[in-house]
Amino acid sequence: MKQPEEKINNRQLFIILFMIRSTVLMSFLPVLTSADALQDAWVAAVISFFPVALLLYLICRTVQGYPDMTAVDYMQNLLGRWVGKVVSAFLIFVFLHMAAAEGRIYAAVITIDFLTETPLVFVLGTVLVLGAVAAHAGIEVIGRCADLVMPVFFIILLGSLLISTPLFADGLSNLEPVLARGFGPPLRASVVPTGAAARFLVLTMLTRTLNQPRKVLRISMASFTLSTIMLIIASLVVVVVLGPHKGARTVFPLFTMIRTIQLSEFLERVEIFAIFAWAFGTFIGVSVLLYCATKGLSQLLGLRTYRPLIGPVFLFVLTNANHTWRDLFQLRTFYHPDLYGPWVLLVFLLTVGLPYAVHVLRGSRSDHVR
Amino acid sequence: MGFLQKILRGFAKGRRDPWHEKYDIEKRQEKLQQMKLSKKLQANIDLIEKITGSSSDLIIRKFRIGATVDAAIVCLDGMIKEAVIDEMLHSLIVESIRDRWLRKLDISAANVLNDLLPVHDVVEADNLADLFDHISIGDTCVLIDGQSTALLCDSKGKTSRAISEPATEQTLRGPRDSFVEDLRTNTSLIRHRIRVPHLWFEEIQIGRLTRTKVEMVYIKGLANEGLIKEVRDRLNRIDTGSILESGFIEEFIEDQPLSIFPTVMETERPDKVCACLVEGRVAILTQGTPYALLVPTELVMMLQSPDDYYEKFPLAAFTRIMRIGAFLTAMMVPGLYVAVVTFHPELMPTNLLIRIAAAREGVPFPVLVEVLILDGLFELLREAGVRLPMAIGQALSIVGALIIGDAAIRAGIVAPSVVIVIALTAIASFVTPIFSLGIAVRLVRFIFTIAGAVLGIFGIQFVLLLLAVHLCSLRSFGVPYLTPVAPFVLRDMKDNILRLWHWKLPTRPKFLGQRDVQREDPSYSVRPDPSQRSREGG
Amino acid sequence: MCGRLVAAFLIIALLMAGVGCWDRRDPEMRGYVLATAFDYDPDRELYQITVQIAHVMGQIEEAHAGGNPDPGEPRPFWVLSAYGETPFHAREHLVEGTSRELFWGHNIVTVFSEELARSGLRPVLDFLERERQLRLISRPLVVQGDVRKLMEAEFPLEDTGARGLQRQITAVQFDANIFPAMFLSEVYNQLEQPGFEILIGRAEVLVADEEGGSHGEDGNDDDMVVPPVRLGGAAAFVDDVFRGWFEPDEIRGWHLVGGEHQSSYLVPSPGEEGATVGLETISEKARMYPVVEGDEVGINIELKARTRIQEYTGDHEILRDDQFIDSLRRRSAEALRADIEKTISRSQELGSDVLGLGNLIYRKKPHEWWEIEDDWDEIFPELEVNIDVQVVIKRAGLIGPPVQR
Repeated sequence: MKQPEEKINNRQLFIILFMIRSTVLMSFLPVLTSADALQDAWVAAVISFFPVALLLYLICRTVQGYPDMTAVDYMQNLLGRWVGKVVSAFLIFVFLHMAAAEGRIYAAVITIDFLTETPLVFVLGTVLVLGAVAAHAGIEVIGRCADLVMPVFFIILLGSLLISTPLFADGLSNLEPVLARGFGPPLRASVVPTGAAARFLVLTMLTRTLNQPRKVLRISMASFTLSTIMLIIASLVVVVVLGPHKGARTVFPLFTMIRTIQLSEFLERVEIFAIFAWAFGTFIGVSVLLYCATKGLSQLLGLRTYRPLIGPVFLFVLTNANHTWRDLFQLRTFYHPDLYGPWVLLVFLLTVGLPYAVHVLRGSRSDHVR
Repeated sequence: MGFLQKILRGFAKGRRDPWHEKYDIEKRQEKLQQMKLSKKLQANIDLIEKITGSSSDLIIRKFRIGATVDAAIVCLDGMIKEAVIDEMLHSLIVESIRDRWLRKLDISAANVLNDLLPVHDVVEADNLADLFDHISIGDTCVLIDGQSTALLCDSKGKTSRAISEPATEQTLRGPRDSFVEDLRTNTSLIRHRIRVPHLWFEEIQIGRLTRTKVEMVYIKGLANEGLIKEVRDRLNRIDTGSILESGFIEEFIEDQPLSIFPTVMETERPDKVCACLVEGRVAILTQGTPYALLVPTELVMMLQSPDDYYEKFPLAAFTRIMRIGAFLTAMMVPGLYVAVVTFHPELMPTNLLIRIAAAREGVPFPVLVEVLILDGLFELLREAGVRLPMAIGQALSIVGALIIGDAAIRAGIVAPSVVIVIALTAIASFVTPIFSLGIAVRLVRFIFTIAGAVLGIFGIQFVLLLLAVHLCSLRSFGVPYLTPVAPFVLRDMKDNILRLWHWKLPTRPKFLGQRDVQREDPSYSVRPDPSQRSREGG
Repeated sequence: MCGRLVAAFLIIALLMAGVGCWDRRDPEMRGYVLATAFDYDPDRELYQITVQIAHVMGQIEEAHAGGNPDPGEPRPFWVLSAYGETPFHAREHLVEGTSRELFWGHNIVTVFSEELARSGLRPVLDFLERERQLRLISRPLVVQGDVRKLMEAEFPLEDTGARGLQRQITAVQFDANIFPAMFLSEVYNQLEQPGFEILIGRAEVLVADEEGGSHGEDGNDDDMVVPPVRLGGAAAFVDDVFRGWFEPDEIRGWHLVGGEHQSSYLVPSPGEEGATVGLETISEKARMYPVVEGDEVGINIELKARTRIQEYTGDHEILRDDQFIDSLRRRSAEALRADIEKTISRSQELGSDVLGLGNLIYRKKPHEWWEIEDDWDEIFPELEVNIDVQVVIKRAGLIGPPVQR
């Protein structure tokens, strides 16, 4: 008996995209402040808005043309059977890789800062198991979990940023001199957050599950704008509180900043709540990525349902996350603009640029025919 | 082996009964349905005696209608109201003579039914299954010689207890009647409150041995047709030997039998049932238990108490929010305590931490074991309190809690801070109005405690998210379990988390998919008419 | 199948709970460090770390005694030291002397000795930053005197020394501007910024001598009640090396320019001999900006302060005399100006730019800063600073003229 297709509604899509993007705040903030950008980290955040907006536009336009298909389907449609399969397989690999990276970064923070003696693979396992369980339960469940978890996430995030305002002892002087070194450093620093927008590729797989596929562009732009605003505010706050140099030196500046909050004699050291919020974001991100990957894989392999694949995929991602990067240094090297830039460019060209180009050409050709 | 059985059978001749040996329990109901009554009175009586084994409470009274035709009544002593039967017999024996003389009445089942039976409810039956179904509930069967139809007359005596206060769901304000074990009394309690004719009761009999009467209650045209059909189908699909309580039915019809969270709510308050019916839900009443089932159920519904609707808005909203907080507290506080004290001492204020460490000097167990011991002790006390008779029970729980706790501290088995934590948890867990949810909370609390001891706050967060995924994937008869929190339905928030004034609740819940979404006129406003004011102003 | 899964889960869970998960530490297995002090011995080139550990048993004694510790009872804290070639080594050696695992999550106060300051704070600062448990919200102090005595000092109103120091810092900060109260994180911030030098508050250990009086290390005799520690003044650094002390009255200007509130000072009453007016600033707004003319760089400081009359020893009708008030305003502006000048001249004398004037130039005019950055050490002592102070006297308290016969 064919199961009715699961649906998520607009608001849930908005929340999912927002949370996927906002975890960038927590993990990738240091790259903004490093690479010589220093106090202009927030400029880097602003700059990253434009290329990602363009990317979203391309993705949504492509996807709106085929509202009942997932990426695997329309890739084969547009690019021919075998090329389409190869590109879809590549897309699936990208999803799995991102899920592994996301889990790895989160587990790295925990094992470095909190549970130093717990083996990394154990913490990784808990994060990925959660994602796998949610992916197994289906996208509707993930949507509802997003609904459930969003208020906590948002309040903690916003709250942490607001609470640090009393620490603005020197006013906003840490932000000066603005753009003293020109636009170069922020531009370089904006490469990584732009690249992190590869997460939005989940839209390609999720179109079929949406209530109103026509509104995809509007929803994703709104969600992305909100999270970019949060990113800008967060970079501002981090630079002001920690100072630009320290912000560049710390591995996870947002948490270090929250550590310096002391509300009163009894409410101190509250960064654990920010980690909580980050865990929620990671959970939603990993589940959606795993869901999309297994869905695509099941379609590629011609299976009726994706659920049996969750087990093997989970193991694959777990080993990937554990062994791809030996330690934190390799992780940081991977996310450096020199390495990350070209990789992300390749990904976008293949999975977004190519289908969009073909789609547009086809559209113009069929227009001529009419 | 077979030879031995034959010999044994030979020795047990006295009580040998071929019919009961031949058929298993499962087959007998079918067989009974196939056995039709014959036209001969004595044959019917013999059949009945054979099947019932001439049970001591079976009354078979033979008489003659109109002094000519043989007839008999069959009923069960103890279940009947004798006055009705006497009245009936009077008419059949005495009046029938006069009627026969006056109107030349022909004694047939139809005539007897129409002219001679002064009983308010009569059903005809022609097979033994129906006959026994009715007799077993207190009806009287009239068998007439020469007719293959039996007349089943309602002579039920009310044997249930009086309507009293609900034992488990007490409120400060509001009606104090609760359901009883008798089905008909329960339905009357509902009828009193909802007086429209669209309130329909559908009866089903479930259970091969118990033949329990189960009634589906709904407001036709308000409740979703699909929902009604689904409930009916599920009830009809139940194939089991006995249904002794609505809890049995609950387990058969729930969506996720493996989940510890209840997706069907049980209640013994008629006002709750009526409120749910009015929203478009379906209720299931069971003979023999005061607990009615309500479907579909959401988690938020289980955290509500009727008090919320009878008190004014700010108090109700505040109490509701506090109840949600208590729900979360009861689940997570021991786990959080273990996690923070052993993994994240930097979260606690310095003075408190040092005092806790000081108090723990000399305690032999790790914090986790302490918490588990006290938690287990408390559960024991609670369970014991339920079983003991009232007078001792109360004293024991108070004494137990205070003295044992204190003695444990002095003996150095536990630290005082753990006692406070467990006491807080215990008090919070009593705030949950629905018992089945309380059980789920207890189990989940245990898991949280262990998780807190394994990975600290990350363990708690792991279990929390697992719980969230599980709850989000639950559905109760098609409605997601966490409506209206997830999926978020803003319109329903007014009633579920807060509880705005009654005049501000114009819509019914969204997911019940019923036709009449508006409860009342949305432009309704509570202020007095301006014309009224001017009149008073003179 | 299901039963097996459940059984497996239970077994694993109980195993872990029993054996103890890797990071779990019961609270009585840890020793909570409340204050840390670093010292350096230049002869042996060894770092010394001294920690104040909360003594839990002492807390119990105290609680049972109703909160009043007898002198004979154990104190609620315990002090331990160790030596090592680097701060990290010294910390490792600490373990040899204690029966518990030390936990730095509640460290409130970080103390540096004068010796350490003179030899350079960098190694210790790096250690503090990398250490995972230490939070940078502890208060830094430089000690003039014996570090050990500071750590062992008993504060009469507080239970532990660390809490005593922390609260004393807060109290001083609110009541008198003679101490720069800051968090350790701000030290890092200032150290990293170009053109900024760090200033860390000073704690003087007061020693009770045999006659019952007390004196500081420099030998002042006082007959008053002895606090164990006196907070006032600060240590000025260049990079991470100690340069000299700022006395309490030289810190006032630092606070004024930084926009901190509430300083009080005495001003001779205009037109009267021997009478003084005590004024207190309620709020102030300071603006600093660099002025560049060709090759020359200067700083302008503008200060607007609102003050209140707190004390008056003369007998003038102060409320009714506008001229008096005007003259008073000028004199108080003069007093504030003098305070700022004192700070600047002292910092220029030490060559330590604690006010961050260089940083100011960097922020407002980065290109000019990059040109003069290398010569800043020579430019700074001769830097021209123009100060302009305006005072508004807001309130005179509840009474007009003082009590008279």
